[in-house]
Amino acid sequence: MTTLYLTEPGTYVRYRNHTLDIKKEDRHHTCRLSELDLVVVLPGVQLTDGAIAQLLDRGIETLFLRQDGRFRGRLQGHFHSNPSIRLAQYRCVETTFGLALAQKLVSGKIRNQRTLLQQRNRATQGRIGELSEAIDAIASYSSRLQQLATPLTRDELMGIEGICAKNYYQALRHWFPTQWNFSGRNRRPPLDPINALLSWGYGVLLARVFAAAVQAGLDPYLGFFHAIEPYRPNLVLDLMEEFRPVIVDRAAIAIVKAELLDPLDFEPSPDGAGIWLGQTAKKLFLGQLQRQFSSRVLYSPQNRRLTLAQILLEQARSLGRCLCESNLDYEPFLLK
Amino acid sequence: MTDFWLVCYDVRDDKRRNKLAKLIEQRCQRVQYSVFECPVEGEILCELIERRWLKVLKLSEDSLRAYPLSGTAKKQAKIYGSPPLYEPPDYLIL
Repeated sequence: MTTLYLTEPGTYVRYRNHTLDIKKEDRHHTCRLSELDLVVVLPGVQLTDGAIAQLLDRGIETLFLRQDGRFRGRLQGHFHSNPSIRLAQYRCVETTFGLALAQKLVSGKIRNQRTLLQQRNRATQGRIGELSEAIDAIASYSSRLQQLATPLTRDELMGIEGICAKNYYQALRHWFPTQWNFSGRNRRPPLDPINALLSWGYGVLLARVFAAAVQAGLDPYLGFFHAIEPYRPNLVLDLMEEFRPVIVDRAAIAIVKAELLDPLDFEPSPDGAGIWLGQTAKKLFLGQLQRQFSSRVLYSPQNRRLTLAQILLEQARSLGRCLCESNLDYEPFLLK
Repeated sequence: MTDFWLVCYDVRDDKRRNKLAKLIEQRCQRVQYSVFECPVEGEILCELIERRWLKVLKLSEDSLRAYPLSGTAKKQAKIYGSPPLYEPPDYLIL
């Protein structure tokens, strides 16, 4: 199955003979609808009413992103959903059980963050002090998070997540050559190219996890760790935690390592305060992200190899099952 | 049944041929003037052929053939010149 990314402003997409007919100036592509399972649309792309109707009727997931990569929305056709999953979800919000789940989700994220730093530490044979210190610091919090018998409060959990994130992003700079000037995480707007990549990637990941959450019958807005902050897809933010390092951070590392990008591929954001990806950088990075989503790894709960995109959906389904059965069997997906 | 097929036809009349080609292209990739490669499950292909494609044809004059290409047969296929054996792309960034 094919994932179609429509990135160029001025692209015109119409429906013709069971196929999407895609035109930009004199360039012309076709994409058979029966082979399509996901469409990601960037601003400036025109879809005709006929094309939208086909995407809706065939249940082809269609995601819209903003210029800065943030999630704008998705097409939602008539869908069959199981209300019992949502009811179970509502019952678990703001309960001890919900907090224990939050603890598992955060634990998954920081364990994957630690693994990513460890890989770098091994490659540099432990010569970088800051790396091994960050790894040890995250390890101590990680073991605390895995003791579910004594659950943490939300404030404690947020504290641990914050400290680990700080340690992690500072140490992550040892993955990137110094000319990229990455020294830690900043956002809204991102101030350097690596942060621009991370922000963009998290936007794409959020859109795809949003789709997975809906497909699994969950309410995207009611979370456990991010809880019930208004105007935010809290459950999506929860579910994507463990995948941030696995998919986005690794894609950023891979694309920099492949020397595919040049600092000139980035441009100042319209308000001049931050840095955005230019058209070429967007296309290259979408390709890299897509290679992450389609890479196959062992999914231990089912003991078979699945793509990371399939694992996103399986993790959302597994969360749904835990909520319905009120058990804490949810296992975060861990990077090997 | 296999989920990859080779479909070819011989159709006398231009009007019938164009109609059929258009139908086949909805699900299959045209690789030569009258040869298509089809990433379609066997049961679905049978339905398509029997319920839609045959309706266009006059079997006293025309013929249609579909051969399954199993995994090994597909690997052993010899192809010279373009296009390569059809595989829906994993992704397309436009």
